[in-house]
Amino acid sequence: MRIGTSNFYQRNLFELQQQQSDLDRAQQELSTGKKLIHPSDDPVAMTSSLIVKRDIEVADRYLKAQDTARRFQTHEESALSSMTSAIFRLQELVISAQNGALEQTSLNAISIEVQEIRKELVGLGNSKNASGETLFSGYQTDTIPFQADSFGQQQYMADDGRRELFVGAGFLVPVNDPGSSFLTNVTAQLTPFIPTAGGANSAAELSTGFVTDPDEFVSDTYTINFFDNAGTPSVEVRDSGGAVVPLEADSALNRPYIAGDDITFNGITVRTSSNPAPVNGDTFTMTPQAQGETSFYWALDQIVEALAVSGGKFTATANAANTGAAGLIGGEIVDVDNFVMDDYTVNILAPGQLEVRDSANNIVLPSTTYVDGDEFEFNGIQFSISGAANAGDSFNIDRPDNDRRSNLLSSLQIELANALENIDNTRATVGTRLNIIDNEEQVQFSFKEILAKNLSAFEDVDIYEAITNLELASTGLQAAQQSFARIQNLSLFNYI
Amino acid sequence: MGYNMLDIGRSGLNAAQTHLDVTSHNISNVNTEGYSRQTAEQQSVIGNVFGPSLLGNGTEITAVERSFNNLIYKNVIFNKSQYSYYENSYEQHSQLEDLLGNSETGLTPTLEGFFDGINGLTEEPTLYAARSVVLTNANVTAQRFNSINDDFQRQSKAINTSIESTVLSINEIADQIKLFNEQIQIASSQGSATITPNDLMDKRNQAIAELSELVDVQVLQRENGMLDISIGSGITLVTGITTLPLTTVRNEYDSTVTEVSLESAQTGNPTTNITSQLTGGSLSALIDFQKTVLTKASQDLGKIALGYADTYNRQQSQGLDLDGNIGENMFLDINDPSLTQRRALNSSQNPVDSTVAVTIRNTSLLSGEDYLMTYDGVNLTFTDTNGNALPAPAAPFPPPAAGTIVEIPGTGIGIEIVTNNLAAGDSFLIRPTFNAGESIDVVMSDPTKVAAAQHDLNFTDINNPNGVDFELYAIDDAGDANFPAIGAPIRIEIDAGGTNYRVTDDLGAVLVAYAPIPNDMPIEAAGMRFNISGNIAGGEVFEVGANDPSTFGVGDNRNALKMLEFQSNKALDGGTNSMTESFAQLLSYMGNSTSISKVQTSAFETSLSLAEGDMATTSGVNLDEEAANLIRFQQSYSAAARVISVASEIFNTLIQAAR
Repeated sequence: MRIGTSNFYQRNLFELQQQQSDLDRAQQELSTGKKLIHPSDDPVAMTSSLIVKRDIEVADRYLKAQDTARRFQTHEESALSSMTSAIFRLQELVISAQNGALEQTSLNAISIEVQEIRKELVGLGNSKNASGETLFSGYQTDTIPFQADSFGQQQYMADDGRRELFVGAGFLVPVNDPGSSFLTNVTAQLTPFIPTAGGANSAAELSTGFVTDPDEFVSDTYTINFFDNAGTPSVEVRDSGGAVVPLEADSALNRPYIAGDDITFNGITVRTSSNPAPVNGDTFTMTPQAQGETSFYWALDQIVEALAVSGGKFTATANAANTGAAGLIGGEIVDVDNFVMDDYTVNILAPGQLEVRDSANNIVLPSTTYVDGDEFEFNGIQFSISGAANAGDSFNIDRPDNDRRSNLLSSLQIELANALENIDNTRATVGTRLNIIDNEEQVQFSFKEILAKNLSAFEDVDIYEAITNLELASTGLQAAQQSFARIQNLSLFNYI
Repeated sequence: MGYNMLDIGRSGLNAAQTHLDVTSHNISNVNTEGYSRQTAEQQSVIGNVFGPSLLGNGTEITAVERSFNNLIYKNVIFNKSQYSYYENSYEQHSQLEDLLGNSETGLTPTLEGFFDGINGLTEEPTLYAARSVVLTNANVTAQRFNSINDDFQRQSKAINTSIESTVLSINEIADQIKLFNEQIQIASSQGSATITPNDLMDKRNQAIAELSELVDVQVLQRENGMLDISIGSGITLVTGITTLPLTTVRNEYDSTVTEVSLESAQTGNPTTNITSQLTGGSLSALIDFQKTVLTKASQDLGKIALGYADTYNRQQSQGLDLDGNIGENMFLDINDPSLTQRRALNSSQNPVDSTVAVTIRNTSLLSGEDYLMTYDGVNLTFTDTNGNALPAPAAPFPPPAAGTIVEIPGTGIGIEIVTNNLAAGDSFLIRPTFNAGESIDVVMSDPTKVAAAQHDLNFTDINNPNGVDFELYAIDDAGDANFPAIGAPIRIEIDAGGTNYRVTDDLGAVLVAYAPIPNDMPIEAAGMRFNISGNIAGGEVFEVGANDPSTFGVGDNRNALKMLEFQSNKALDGGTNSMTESFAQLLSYMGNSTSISKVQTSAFETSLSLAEGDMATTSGVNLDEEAANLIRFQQSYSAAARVISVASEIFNTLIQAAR
């Protein structure tokens, strides 16, 4: 066969170029470590590798979100653990304050510490994270969740939102707990009463009603009316049946009110706002907090208030309806052996004649004559009447404040325990979430490992193969060059 | 007799001389492109009657012929044409592939960066920095869409320029061939008819070979050695000594696309667009690449851009920003008036242009395809670019009145005739996604406007026997008169037939009368759009209520979480692909197409090399052969010279003898 000389050179050049481009490719694969350099190298692998890369990015995002979620949980955990230890100390103080023999000075000392702890707990409830977001205010992370209202009571100002993060595919984990999920839903012993202003009211407000005397406490929905009583601005309380509820302490059916004073009825105390003051015609409905729950911070408020209550003697108050001017003096416990703790009523049957009934309306001292100024005794308690009393007059005798405080504190102590349980449950949830996040981290890590392996299979070069290819290509090129160099020398013209 | 011997010797000398000339010519042209090896044809001269036989009378050179095989030559130009086609195609492909497939310049890194930003937003929705990152990355992504689309356009423009210069080259070569035809005709007709102008024919063949690199060439033999040249599928370029030059024209619809036309033989007559009839060579490679691959790349990129912008705008609309206001558009509205009218192109044949607006109604249904809309004087007809009719909204389908948008089922688009100058025979090219990558733009500049929080609407199934999915698709206008207010929910009721829906309040008072449920787009009601998917039983009632806006919290990240889910949600291509996957699909198409052109390039490179080898075997100059010939003919020459000297010696002997 004839070989065209020019074509011979061209063909050899072409072959050399081919070898060179093979060598270039082998070199490129080795230096980049990739066999998938252009989509056309393997379109299917390119598509898969793109999706695998996306999946790796997504897994990285989950891992990043996990870090953030963990940060949030740890933050919350530390706030909750501080709360727990504060409550432990609080419980000790409350137990000691129940001692009926405590003097006011000792109570004051306890009260100061309790108030400090309350401040700490409010601070913890309003904790912020590094970005200045409050931890326990749901979605309203720019709102301080627990704020004292004009009556000094801590109200929850935020919502029930739980921010969640994707820590895995379709796997959302909450990173916060709103205060409403564990701080404002403490199972209550003494249900607080929430005021609802009537539609036509002035801007006056009532405080949340707290139970201040567990022994006299009657749960119901009450209405408090401010009205014009023959020219005197007065207040009255009615129960859900519309019956008038006598007011403490003198059983008055209504009384003139002073803006900013307390209204106490059936063991419940609410305060009126002084500015703006209630006006005649204002009406408020006092509803027991839903589900019998109270706010942890209200319980703290109640503890502080209870610590101000002290007194070893029974106190007597003349009934507002009395016509005589007599008063009841005394109230010391004189016979500890016969002493029975209760609230009593002294009824004047006729001038110089009285009887005493207990809170269940049972007679504890049958009709007895008395002399003005002389002492009389029942159930180990001693009183004397001074001044003229008329038939039909009566006196309310309240147990000593120390006892009321003990009762109140023992109920509040249970509420504290309930709050602690809520906090413990929340801590447990946080712990579970941390576990979940750790598990999910492992899942994402191993998923990424698999993905990286897949990706490597798609696009990474097999290093041995690449080296072999390079060797082959360079040997091929070398051989081609050498043979070309030798063959191109061969010409008949060299011999003529 | 001796006298004769001298003559015979001289003829041998002459013949050897000619052979040496031809050999020298061959050696000199060893590197001349297109040169065909020549050989001198030698034959013996028939002599006089000598007894019972003829006595030879020396030799003569009858012709100098070139070694040329037409079949092999045709094979060469065919392969040249194919090789050139695929080589050019591959060159264009790899440019595009480098752009799209490169991990630095591709779309995916910026898209992933955007999702990283959204992830950060879910973690810290109140953090200004986190919100800034979202917007920055949205900008970077939008710019990447823009720049990739720019590169598409730049490549398209470069192709236009190449088409123009290629057409000029074709015309030039056609002129050369015409001239060669003329010269060959003249040369052939001089003297006896056997004269063949070898070197002229080589040059003409070389010109044809060059032409075949530009476009597929067919050669037809004519009388007088002239050749007729046609290109593509039978477009005559050269007939004898006349040529019909090519010219470039603009595409009927898209003036940014250059096409090829044949000038009419009569000046002044309109040119004939022959773009679709061209095959082979670099010209077709450019045209085909521009028409198919580059167009598809732009369409698919546009589809992803529209899907991306629409998804995030709609998600924004369903959320509340840091100030508790309803989320605004993050990207330029995909149905901004500045965009909708760009999507329909008038044919240059339309006597008067009409303005047609193309509204994108459902980005997940976009296929990326272009459609053709034609008007027969009464009705509009829609076909895909392959000429298959689309299911019309209602057949027959008269042009809708201005202000009415009619959906084209299955396409995700709606058509509005803004200015109606329609005349029978008018046609329009509808390009819903082509070049849409160019117009994606972030219109939000304030990071606090990113709507991370959820706009709380309550959805209640009042009656939903088949468990149909009823989802909020977008909130378009929260100021709508029927938009649900606190304590005043609205209801979407589906009629018993399951084909119409209406809006009522929660007491059943009708707010908006029955309207048909669209085939493939979300239903619009009370300033919102809803997706209904599933098997509608008829009689379904869904209630949408509003929550107290004061429940808004800045730390709410629920809407951001939904935004994040689009990192893998299959929101495109009829719900089969996420954005990344759709892009991967485009890359895969690109890769395949590139790979085919690459394989074909090397296949035809080999074929061409073989064909050229064959050609070289026949027509090429082999220096060794020529060296041998040189020696051979030198010896012949010497021998012939010896014959003369012998003749001389014989003569001398005779003289001496006679003396």
